[in-house]
Amino acid sequence: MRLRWSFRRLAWMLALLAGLLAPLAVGNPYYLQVLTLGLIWAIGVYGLNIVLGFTGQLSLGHAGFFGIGAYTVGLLTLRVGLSFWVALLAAVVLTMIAGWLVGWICLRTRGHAFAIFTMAVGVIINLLIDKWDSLTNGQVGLVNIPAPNAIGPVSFDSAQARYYLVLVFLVLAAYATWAILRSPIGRAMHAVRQSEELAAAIGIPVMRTKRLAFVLSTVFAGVAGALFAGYLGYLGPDVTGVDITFDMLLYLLVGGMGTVAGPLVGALLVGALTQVLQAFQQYQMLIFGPVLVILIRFFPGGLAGIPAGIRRRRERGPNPPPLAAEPIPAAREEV
Amino acid sequence: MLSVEALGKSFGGLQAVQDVTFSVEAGSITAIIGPNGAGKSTLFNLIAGAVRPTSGRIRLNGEDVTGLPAHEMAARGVARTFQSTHLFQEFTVIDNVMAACQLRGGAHLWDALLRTDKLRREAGALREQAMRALAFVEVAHLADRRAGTIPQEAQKRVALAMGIATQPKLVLLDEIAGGLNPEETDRMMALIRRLVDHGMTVCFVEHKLRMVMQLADQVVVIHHGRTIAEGTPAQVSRDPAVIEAYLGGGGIAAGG
Amino acid sequence: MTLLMQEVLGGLVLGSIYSLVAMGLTLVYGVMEIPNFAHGHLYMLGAYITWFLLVSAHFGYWPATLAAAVVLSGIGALLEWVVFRPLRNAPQVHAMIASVGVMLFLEALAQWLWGPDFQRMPTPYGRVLNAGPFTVSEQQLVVIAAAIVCMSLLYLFLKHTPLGMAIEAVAQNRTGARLVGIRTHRISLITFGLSAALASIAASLIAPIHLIFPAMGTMVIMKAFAIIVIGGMGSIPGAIAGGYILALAESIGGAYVSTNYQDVIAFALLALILFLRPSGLFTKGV
Repeated sequence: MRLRWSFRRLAWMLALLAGLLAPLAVGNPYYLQVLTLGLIWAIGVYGLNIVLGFTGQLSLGHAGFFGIGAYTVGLLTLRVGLSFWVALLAAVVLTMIAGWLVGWICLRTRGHAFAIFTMAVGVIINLLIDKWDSLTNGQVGLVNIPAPNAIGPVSFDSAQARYYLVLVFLVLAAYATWAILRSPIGRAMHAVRQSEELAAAIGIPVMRTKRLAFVLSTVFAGVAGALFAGYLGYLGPDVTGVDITFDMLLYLLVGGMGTVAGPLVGALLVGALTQVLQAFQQYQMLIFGPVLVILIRFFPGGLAGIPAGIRRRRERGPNPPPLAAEPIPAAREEV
Repeated sequence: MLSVEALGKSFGGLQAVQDVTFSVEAGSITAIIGPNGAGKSTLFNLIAGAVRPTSGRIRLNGEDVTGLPAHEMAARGVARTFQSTHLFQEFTVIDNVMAACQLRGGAHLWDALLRTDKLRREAGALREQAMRALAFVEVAHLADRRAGTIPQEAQKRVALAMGIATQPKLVLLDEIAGGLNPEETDRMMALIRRLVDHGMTVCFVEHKLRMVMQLADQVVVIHHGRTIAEGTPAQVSRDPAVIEAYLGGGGIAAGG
Repeated sequence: MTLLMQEVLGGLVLGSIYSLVAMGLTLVYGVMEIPNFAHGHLYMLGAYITWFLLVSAHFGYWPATLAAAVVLSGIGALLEWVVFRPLRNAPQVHAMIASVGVMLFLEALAQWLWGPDFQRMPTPYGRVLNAGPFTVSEQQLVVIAAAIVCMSLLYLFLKHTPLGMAIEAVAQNRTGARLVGIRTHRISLITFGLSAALASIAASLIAPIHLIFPAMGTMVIMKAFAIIVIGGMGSIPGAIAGGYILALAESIGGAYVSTNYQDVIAFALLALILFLRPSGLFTKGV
C-alpha cells in the first residue's frame, strides 16, 4: 500500500517536472501551442470529470460554459478594456452564476432527461453566441484579444510564459480534483453516482451534492475558456458547439472517468493522436467513434482506471460475486 | 416515540399503503409482518422519508415529520437498512460506513480544497466512528475490503453498521436476515438485541416467523396496505384476522 | 394572411419530418430506455443512401426510398446487437456515451464516403403549384401525405399485429413482457430497425426540399429530443403532436419574430417545459 502510494507520488512529480521542462524541449512553436491547448482542454475536462466521473451525471452543455468563460474574457478585455485578470475573475463568477442557475433547473431532471436538458442548454448558448452579432460578432468571432497583462516583472507576451500560466491553472485543477476526491464531499459525490437512493437514505443531501458538482464543473470549464481566449487571442462560436463537448467526453473516457490523472492523460494522448492523424483530419472520428464505443464497453474506467480494474479483479478472487441489488423505490429529492 | 396515523401512499392508481396506524415505544423492538406485497417496504420508505405519503401523519417524539425528505429524517435520528444487500459496491467497507455517518460533519468545500485542520480532525473522527460501528457488528477486520467482494453475512452486517453509525434513535431494518442461514440468523438476532441494549429503538420487517416470535415486543400485521392486527407475538398469532390473511385471501408468507 | 398560410404549410411539412424522426427516437426510448444520440445520423445516412440509389444506381424515387429504409433498418438492428445490447446492464450513461461514439463515427463515415459538400436530391415531384399568391410544391404535398401514411401504418402495426403488440408490451413493462414469454432481445432488435427505417423515410422525403450534408442530422436529433421530452419520453402520440407543434411554432415564430432565432425556439421551449414539468407535457404527473 505504502509502496504504491509513493510510486504514485513519484509519477506525479515526474509529470510536473516534464510539464516544467516541456517548453525548453519543444522548440517548434506550433507544437508548444498544441501542448498548451491540450492543457487548456484538460482543465475543461477536469470539470466534466467532476460532474460525470464523480456524480455520474452526463452533462452535454459543457462547451457552452467553456464558451461563456471565453467570451466573457474576450468581450471584457476588447470592448470594456478591462485587464485579463479582472476579466478572468468575472468569467469565474459568471460561469458560477450560470452554472448555479442551469444546475438548479436541470438537476430537477435525472438520468436521460438531464443529459438532453443540458444538451439543449449547450445548444442555446451556442446559438446565442452565434446569432447575437451586435454583442459577439457572430460567425466572424473576436480577434486581437489582448494577452494577459504583466504581473510585476512577469510578462505574458511570449508563448512560453502563457504556457506556464496555463500550467499553473492545470496544476490547480488537478490538485482541486484530488482534494475533493479525498474529502467527504468527494465521497458523497461518488456515493450519489453509485446509488442516489442509498445516498439519500443514509442522509447525503443528493440534490445539493449534485448541484455543487455541476457548479464546480462549469467553473472549471469557464476558467479553461478564459485561458483559451487569453492564450490564442481569437475566438469563434465554434468553441461552444456540442462537438466540443463530445471531444471533451472522448478525452475523459480515454483518460478515465472519476480519476485524478484521467483528464490530463486523455487530453494529451488524444491531442497527440489527433496531431499524428492530421492528414486524416476530417475522418478522425472513423477511429475515435468506435474507440469511444469500445472503451465504454470494455474499459469504462479508461487508461487511468486500468490499475484499479486489475486490483479489483484480483480482490474478487475466491469470493462469490455479490448478489444483484434489487431495485429500490426512487428516493424523493428535495426541491 | 414513533407514531404512524392512517398513513397512505398511492403510486398512480395503485394503493400501496392505504391505512396504516401503529405506534412504537422507545427502546422496544417492533416487527412488521404481512404477506408479500402487503406494503411493508413502502411503509419503511414512508417513515424514512424516501417516499412522500399521500395521506396520514407520521410523528416522531411528538413532532410532525410527515413528508420530510430522507436526509432530514436521518438528521432526526431515523436510519434504515435495505431489503436486499445494497451497499456502495465500489467503495471499501469503511468508506461505506463513513459515507453513512458524514452528515454530521460540518466540513465544506473550502475545507476540502485547503485541506484544513478541521477537515483532518473530522476525517479522523469519522473514521473512528465508522470503525466503532464496524466493531459493533464484528466486521472491523474487513474495513479495507471493497464492499462488493465480501461474503453475504458480512454485507448484511455492514448495511447494519451503516444504519447505526450515525447513532440513530430509531433503526428500521428491512429483512436484515434475508438469505441468512439459521446460525447466521441467530447471530443477527443477538446483534439486534445489543442495539436495544445500547438505547436504540428497532423496527424490522421480516418473513422469518421464528425471528418475529423470539425477538419482537410488539408485532404489527399489515395486509393489503392496512393494519389488521397489533399486539404481542402471542396475541397476534392467535388473531383470526391474521390467520385469515396468511392462509385465506392473501396467499402464503414466503420464507418462514 | 397568405404569409400565415404559407408558414403553416411550411410548418406542416417540417412537422411531418420531425414527427417521423421523433417517433423512431421515442420508440427506441420506450422499449430500451436509451436516448439514441445517433438517431439523427441514421436519418442522414438514409438521405445519402437514397440519393446514391437515385443518382448512381438509377432507382426510381419510391424504390430508392424503400430500399434505403430497408438498408437502414439493417444498420439499426446491427447497432442494437453490437453496441447497445452488451450495455443493457451497465450504468445509464454508458449507453448514451456509446451512442455519441456511433454518432461521431457515422458523420465521419459520410464525410469520407461522400465528401463534405452539399448534395441536392432530384425528385419526380418538382412542379410548383400556384393558387393565387399561394405557392406549394408537389414534393411538399408528397411529404405531408407520405408522413400520414407512415403514421397510420405504424399505428395499425402497433395496435393490430402480434409483433406490434409485443413491442408495446415491452415498452410498458420489460420484465413483465419477458415473464409472459416475449423475447425481449428480438423486440429490441426489431424496434431499433423500425426506428432507423422511419428516420430514413423521413430523410428521403425531405431531402429534395432541403440539402444533404454529413452534419444534417445534428440539428434534427436535437429537435427530436426536444419533441420527445415535450411529448413525454416513450409516447408515440406525444412525438407526433410534439413534432407538429414545434414545427409550426418554428415556422410561424420564424416568420413573425426573427429567422435568426428560429432554432432557439425549440430549445427555449424545451427548457421552459422541463422547468415547469420535469416529466414532460403529456405525461400524467405521478
